[in-house]
Amino acid sequence: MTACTRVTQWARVTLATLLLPLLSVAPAHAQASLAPHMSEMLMDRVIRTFILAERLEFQPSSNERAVNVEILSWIGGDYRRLYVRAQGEQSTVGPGKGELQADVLFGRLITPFWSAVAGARLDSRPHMGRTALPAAAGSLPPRVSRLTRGLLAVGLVGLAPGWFELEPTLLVSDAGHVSLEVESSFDLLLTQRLIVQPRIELNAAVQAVPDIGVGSGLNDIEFGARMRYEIRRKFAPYVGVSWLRRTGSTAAMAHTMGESKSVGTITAGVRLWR
Amino acid sequence: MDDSERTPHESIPSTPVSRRRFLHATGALGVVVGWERLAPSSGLHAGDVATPLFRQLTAAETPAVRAPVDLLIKTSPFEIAGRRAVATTINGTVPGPLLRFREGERATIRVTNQLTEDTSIHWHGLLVPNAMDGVPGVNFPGIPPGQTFTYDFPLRQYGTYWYHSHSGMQEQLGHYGPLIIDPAEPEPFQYDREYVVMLSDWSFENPYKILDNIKKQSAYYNFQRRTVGDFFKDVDRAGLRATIADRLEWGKMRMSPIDIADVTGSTYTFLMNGLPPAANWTGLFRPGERVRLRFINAGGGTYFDVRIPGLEMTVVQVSGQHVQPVATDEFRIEIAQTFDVIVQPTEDRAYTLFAEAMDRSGHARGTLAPRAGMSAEIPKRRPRPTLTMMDMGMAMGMGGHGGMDMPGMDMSSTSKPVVPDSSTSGQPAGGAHAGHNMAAMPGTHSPEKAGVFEGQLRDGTIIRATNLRAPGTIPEPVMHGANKHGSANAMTPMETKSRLSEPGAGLGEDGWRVLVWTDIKRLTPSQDFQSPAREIELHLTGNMERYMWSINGIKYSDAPDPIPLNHGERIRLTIVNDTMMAHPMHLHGVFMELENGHGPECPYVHTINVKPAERVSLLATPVDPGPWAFHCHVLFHMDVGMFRVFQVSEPGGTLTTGAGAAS
Repeated sequence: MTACTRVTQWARVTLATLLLPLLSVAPAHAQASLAPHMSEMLMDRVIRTFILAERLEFQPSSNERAVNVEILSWIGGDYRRLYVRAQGEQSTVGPGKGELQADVLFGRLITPFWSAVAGARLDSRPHMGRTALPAAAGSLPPRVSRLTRGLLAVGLVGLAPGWFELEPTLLVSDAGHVSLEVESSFDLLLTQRLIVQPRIELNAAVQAVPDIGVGSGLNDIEFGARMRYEIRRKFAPYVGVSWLRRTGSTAAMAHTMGESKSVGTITAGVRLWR
Repeated sequence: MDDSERTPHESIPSTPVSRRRFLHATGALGVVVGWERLAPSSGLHAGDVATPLFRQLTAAETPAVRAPVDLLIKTSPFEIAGRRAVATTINGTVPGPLLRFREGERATIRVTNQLTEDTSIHWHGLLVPNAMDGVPGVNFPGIPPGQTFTYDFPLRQYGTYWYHSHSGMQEQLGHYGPLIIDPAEPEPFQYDREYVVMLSDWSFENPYKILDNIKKQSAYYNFQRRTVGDFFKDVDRAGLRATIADRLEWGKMRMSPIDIADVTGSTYTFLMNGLPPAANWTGLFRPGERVRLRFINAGGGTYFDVRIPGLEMTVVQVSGQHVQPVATDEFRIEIAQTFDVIVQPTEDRAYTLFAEAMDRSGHARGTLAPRAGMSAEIPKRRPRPTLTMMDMGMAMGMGGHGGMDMPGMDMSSTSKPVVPDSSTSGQPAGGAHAGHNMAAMPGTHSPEKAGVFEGQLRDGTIIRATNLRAPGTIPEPVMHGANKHGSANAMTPMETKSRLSEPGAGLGEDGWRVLVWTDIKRLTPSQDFQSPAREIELHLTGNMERYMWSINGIKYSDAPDPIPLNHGERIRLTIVNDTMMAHPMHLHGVFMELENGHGPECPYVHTINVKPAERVSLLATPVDPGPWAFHCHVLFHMDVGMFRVFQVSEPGGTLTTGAGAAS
């Protein structure tokens, strides 16, 4: 079964990508053992857990009236961290329109402002192809079927000059398809607590993957701006707008599925962390 | 003098510590201070130490033993401005009791731990035997719950000091108190009345939580960041082009010019002798009296700018040691420092003691008044200071080139006489690959000092033994090379230089006098002011994005070895601040002589502020053997790794000269 093979393959990709970097840094870590004169006095080796719900929002204006979630979390110390990122979207009006990407990445601080990350992604999204599953009489419409893929991910997480948060990620799927996504955002302080965050996200692919509606070249670009009010640093409700523009064959495929080339949405949500 | 007035259990708040009146026959300034004249004692080898700077008690001397002092460490309810909390207290109060001794006595202090975790007491600025210094993991294992540890040491010095926990986050929770040692000799100044003024910061948040918050978002407590509104204000003031250039410059470096304090008045309540501003700690005086104020900064993370509008302050002691009196209107007291000043209020009115946090996010306040219940006008806090390109080590006219982005900078292209800096550590992040990048770091052996190691230790510390400049002089500016401190250090200044003559960010433009370090001279010049035999250079490093603080780019737990010092050797300790924040650096176990250009009149300090992009040098002659802590006294900086240990050899023995050197 293809699905079964995919799962096994994904598991292998995940294991390999997680273990390799861990193994490669282990000896270096072991060398820096504590000298006898140093005890537990300092807290400079504490392992911390950070969980940020950057977006936890509802898009009342979209066709799907979607719920959108983006989580960024890490566990680790100053130099080495295990990142878990997840991004999901779920329609609240009909079934099957949701999508989910979850990354597990090992990251290492390589320069003061940049971490290199490598790991795996689980990507699940609606199957766009009409031929992928034979539609038996009386079965659900084809869009209900999903395509779940394992991908290998390498990238950077960091702060670019000018205080731009920047996350470029290169992805290789289990079928060998290569794609790139870049996310960047910036905090603009209107007051000490009222903060506008412009954000840009773009997706590009080397090979077309029609099954999930991806063409080759630049797929889409999304501009957004969210204005949050930090009632507390860790609790900030926001409102925002975003505008997605699909390009090239991706736009054409979307069109055949009844999706428009560009989509504007209004969103409201809350940003949380701990 | 009435001895009973100096019992160790006196508490501070709102009562005069003592009303002794010193009426010396001469009373003149310049009385020779006792310990300087004392002969070296046993345990020192001839030629080993030319001048013992502080009194060593001989076995023959049996100092007067005072009744033992009992200190009980436990948690107690603590109330600030009507809000209740639980503090870690010494004998039930914050601050703890005033401990008062006399120089030459032997102190016996029994510390009982009633906490559920280990505790400790470090006697800040006191020259004590190593095992009595109180740093767990360095000097002793700590005091476990339920146990009593007896500190027992001779008092070899006089002055205003303080004591605090060196365990966990206890100091942030109230575990600190003042300590005074009255001099054996008459003091070279007169006063009628004295008060301890202990400044500190209190948060109702758990300090572990505070650290966790700033580790995850370093600006968590900063509510004075630059906004869009500030941008337009700056445009009005400086023009659009200059404002954009400024923002681009800081943005390129990913540095924040408003990063003055990590933890601010948004969570801190600033205390004076344990009281918040509204409680108005009051010290009484009779008009015309000379009042001695012993200022101690026991803040966990706050520098204070202290002034008493309407009163001139005459600084008479710094770090507990006599200095030539200098009059000023305001001083910045770094964390862990002590300044003794004398004021003489002549009017029958109240005066405000105003201690503004350096980032202007709040203030501590009290009153000097002829009668209880009085208060004077509280000055308005000044605007939050903004760091300048000077703080990034930009030499004049060199703006536009950031440290991070100029690894290939051609130093020869500058017109200034520059000393190429061999000091940047080659240590990569994590401290694991010592030696790799150090092949280029020559461990040069000078012919005239054969066997003396020069070069770089494994933890990135630089050792020099040749061509050292004259003692007591101010260091020359040094161009900093490329940032080789690894990912633990976000930037390096282009140039580091002495900034002892500068009052510091946000001070000096108010039309009144501000104390600077070049104003401070030791009262009695050293009779035998020796040149250093070795120079030890350390770089203070940090990466604000991850709230990482380290020395030479390596945090404490990654530092391979202690830094070896020989018993009785004269060293120059050069501290270079590569970061954008000020660091109050404290060395345990030995007084340092701050090289502020006054030669044999260089003042003694136990703690010294190092400004951004500053190069500070100090002389020291360590004699007490053992491991001694050296660290930043911003406690959260210390906690995350801005900490080292110096190992002083036993008398007669020398530590391997190249110990810990990069191979």
